[in-house]
Amino acid sequence: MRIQINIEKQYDEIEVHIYANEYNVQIEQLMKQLKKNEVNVIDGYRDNEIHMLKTNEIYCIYAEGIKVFFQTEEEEFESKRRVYELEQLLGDKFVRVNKSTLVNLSKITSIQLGPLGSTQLFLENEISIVVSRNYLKKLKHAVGIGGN
Amino acid sequence: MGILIGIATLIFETGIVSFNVQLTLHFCFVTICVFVAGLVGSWFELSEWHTIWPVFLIEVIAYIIIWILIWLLTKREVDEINNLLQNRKRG
Repeated sequence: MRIQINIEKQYDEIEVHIYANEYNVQIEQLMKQLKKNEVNVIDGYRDNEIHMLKTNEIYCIYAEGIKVFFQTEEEEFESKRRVYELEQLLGDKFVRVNKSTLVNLSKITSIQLGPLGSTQLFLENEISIVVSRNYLKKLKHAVGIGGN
Repeated sequence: MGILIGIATLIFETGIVSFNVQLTLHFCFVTICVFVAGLVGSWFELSEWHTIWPVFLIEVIAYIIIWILIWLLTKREVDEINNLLQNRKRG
């Protein structure tokens, strides 16, 4: 098996292409391995204690001042990372909706246009988040892909 | 004046305040520019109010039209997203 790596600025997230002349067990195993490397668990902090949070239990990630928080169904944990770092780490499950918030795609229930033209995103735990116009298209794209 | 207004329009690119606030600020800035240009270019006379208000009326109407257009476009995106979400739940 030959391995070739291309590092170029244009790639926002890691893409893996597999070239072969037939589909076989080796390829299946490769794909299983690669899927395992997706980030499913991340470190959150509360009262100086570390908690390993499952990413599919995180509803949204938001920044308040310098601090970044994970919001689960009923609790909040702090993150030691910045929002943009988390955006890169969790890219396919979370989408950015405004300057300081990432939302878990699978936790979105609906989106509504308010009276003054502001767009509100509603999550399964009844939290609502304002979506800024610049990120609306990206959100649509992400929901479209996520749905397939 | 075009350059100044172009620079003012950049405010929409920054994510700082809400869209409505951005639009209002932009409107104020453009109004000031229009007023200054109008004085310099003799579009109207300061003493003759009836020469001044049509200019600003047109400006206000233009902004209202733009706001409505953007509202319609946003509504379309929101409806599309909700459709996608519905499809995702059904599928």
